[in-house]
Amino acid sequence: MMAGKLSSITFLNRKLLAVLVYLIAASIIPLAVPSIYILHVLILAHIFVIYAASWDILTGYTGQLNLGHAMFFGLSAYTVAITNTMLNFPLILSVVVGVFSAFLLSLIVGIPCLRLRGPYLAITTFSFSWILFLLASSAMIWLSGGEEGVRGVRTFVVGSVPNYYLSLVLMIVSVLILYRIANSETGLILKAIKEDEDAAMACGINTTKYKLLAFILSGVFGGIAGAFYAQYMRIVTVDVVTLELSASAITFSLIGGIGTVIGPAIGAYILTILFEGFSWLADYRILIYNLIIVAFVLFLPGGLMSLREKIKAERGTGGEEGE
Amino acid sequence: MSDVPFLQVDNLSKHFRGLKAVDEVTFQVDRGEFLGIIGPNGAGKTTLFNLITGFLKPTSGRIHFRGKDITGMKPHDRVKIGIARTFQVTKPFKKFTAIENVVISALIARKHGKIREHERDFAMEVLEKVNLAHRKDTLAENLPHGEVKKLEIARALATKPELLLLDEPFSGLTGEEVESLQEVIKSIHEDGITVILIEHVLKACMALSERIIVLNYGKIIADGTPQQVCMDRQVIEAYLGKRGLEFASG
Amino acid sequence: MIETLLSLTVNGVLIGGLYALAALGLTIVLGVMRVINVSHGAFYMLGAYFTFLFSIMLGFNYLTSFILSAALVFAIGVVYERLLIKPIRKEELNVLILTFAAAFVIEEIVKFAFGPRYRNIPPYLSGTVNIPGGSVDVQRVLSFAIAIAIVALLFAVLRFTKIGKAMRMVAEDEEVAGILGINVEKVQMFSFGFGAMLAASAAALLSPIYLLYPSMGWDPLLKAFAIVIFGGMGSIPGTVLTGIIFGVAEVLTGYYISPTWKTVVPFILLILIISVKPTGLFGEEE
Repeated sequence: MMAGKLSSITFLNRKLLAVLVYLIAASIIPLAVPSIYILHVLILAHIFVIYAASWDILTGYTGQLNLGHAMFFGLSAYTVAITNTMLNFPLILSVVVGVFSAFLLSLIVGIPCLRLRGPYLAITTFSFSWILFLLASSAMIWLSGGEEGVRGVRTFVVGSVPNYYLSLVLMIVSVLILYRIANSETGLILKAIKEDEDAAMACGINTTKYKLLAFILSGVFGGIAGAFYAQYMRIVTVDVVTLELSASAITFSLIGGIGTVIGPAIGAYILTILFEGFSWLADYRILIYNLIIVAFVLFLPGGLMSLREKIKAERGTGGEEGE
Repeated sequence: MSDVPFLQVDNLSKHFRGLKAVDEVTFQVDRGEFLGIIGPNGAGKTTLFNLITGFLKPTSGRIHFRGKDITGMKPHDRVKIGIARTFQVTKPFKKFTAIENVVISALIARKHGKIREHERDFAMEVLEKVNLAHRKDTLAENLPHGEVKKLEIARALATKPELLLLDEPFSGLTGEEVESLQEVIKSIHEDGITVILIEHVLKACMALSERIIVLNYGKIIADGTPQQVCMDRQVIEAYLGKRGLEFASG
Repeated sequence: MIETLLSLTVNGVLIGGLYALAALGLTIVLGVMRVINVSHGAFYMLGAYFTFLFSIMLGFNYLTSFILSAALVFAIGVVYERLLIKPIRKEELNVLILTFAAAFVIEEIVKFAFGPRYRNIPPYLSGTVNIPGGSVDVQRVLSFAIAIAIVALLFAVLRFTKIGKAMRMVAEDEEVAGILGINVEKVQMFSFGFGAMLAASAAALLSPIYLLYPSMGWDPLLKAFAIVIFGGMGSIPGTVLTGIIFGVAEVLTGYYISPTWKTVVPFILLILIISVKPTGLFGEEE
């Protein structure tokens, strides 16, 4: 009993220590590595961490298969860019409107999706994001600028270092909020819905309410990531609503560990850096990237977060065999 | 107030593409009763449960609970006013431990103001009630079938129901498990909870129920004490067959 | 006015029939295996490229190329199911992710093998047929006719053959089918190959009409998704009818509204129907 408690304390401390080490390292990176390119990659990583963690709340926690998460990111990014450049909104207002548009989209998508399950839901979310892609890439080029995109978005702070810190703070705050929600009573209820929706109803859970809540949380934080992206990149193109971007929300989460919030965050961080880091692989990059995903699904579906337990379990069985 | 029936089902029907799964069913249940519902496969028993608990919308007819029309009410709202259920095909939260399964219901019950204590303590009490306390930290997916059945009942009990609907709790259990579960259900009823039980294991159902309704092709063909039902010719013909005849006379 | 409408409708039906064919493969895999196969578009793309390989690069005639490429994609589908789907079939999300990633892997391999540029298979039939209000290409009429023949064959297979009956039983209830002595795993492996083959056939039929490029599979994949859900999952008549509705809707939108909007229309239709009837046009209530 005592030993169990002690080890859980050290485990907690170890986690805390890891977070602390990361925070210190993350804060001194711009001083230690004055490379604009590396900072750029890290800023993108911060943005994608928010993006992946927000996907995880809806799909990883609540089990609502969302294949089109880029729609929240993309709509918010476009809204920020368009209101800021064409309507001359002050940037802060554009960002508010952008995140609000993601919120509205989460309702527009979420409400019809409340009645859908499994493949129906997956394909409907897919369709919503595909519509957005088609609008941005062809049907509404007059607004989206097509391949050229919307240029000249203003930015809160100028330069890599200030943007780095801003994105770092935004990421930490967002992940913290999502993590707190995921580990609260609400998180437990969301997980119950994922496990079995009928059983959750039979427990008295208003599944409609909680699913919509998950949609909204997911959409709003996806929108926050998109809004930040727009002001940082200062240009928004169809890249923000592509299938690839939707897929990467899933990939990041899978590699890190779906349904853990922290896992997807770690996955997004590592993969964004790796993907940029592997640019020397040039033409083979997409192939290798996707082969890694296939391998993970087959051999480590719980992602990096499950690695610890998996090793422990294997050691455990090894020990038993030894006895 | 006392003449308001506890549960009142009026002319309830549910049609699936022309098939009358439940056909003009009318019955009442009094507070504190133990009602058994039997009938051959496809007689509409589970559909009837789904209608009473709100998992399906009826084609026509009305349901009143303690005088209140609940026909259009959502399942979770029915849980809130005191109707709980289990599933014929068990639906545990597989990746949750036994106690976490029950904590979910307790959590909601606390939010509804039905329990004051900490939901974990309450969940533990409920697990003890169904003799699963020793399994509290086992993942539901690792529990044997008989204990999953008990866990389902625990989860329903943790919603603090007044009316508990059990959908074939004995199916797939060994003789010993049946006996142990029978005791559990009996003691739940003794705590004052009204129970409606669908069952295929006739012996257990007959032993527990004070009254039995027999469904066949979605219609009620008999309604009475276990003894009366067993003597009913229509029932014997439609459902119990020759074995039922032996059972009734023996 | 009316004649133009008629001509547009005929053209829409012709394209819609091929959409239906591509979607049918997805319906079958979904029905029999309860698996969303995101690689379906990649099989479609493979069908087109193999047709190109056999007919243009190796010089076989069109019909032989068509049959060879359909057979080859069937074989690939079977191996794919065994190696990748079977181990994880019960995990819906994992299947989605895997088939998504695998689609990119297939696409990249094709890109290396055939190059990233556009390829073209010339129509093997030229000429047009005049109809009131316009004309239709003979090529399209023939492709449509073959598609209809394949759909009819599929119906016959499902209804009358042993494997078809087994597929229907597995779709109905896997467990019961297993108890009745059906080799469920084998049936599923076959169904997956069959689904892939249908996608490849549709692509082979469309290849003289459309250009070939490695990422050509995504658009039909998404369209097939929309068709399957719109028609009601697992419903074959629903799938066929929806394919044709989408084909007509696209052509009409392209003509009367704007060509850039035509690709959007199926998805808007899908969202509309799903808001009204969550199980799709022909879907059964739960």
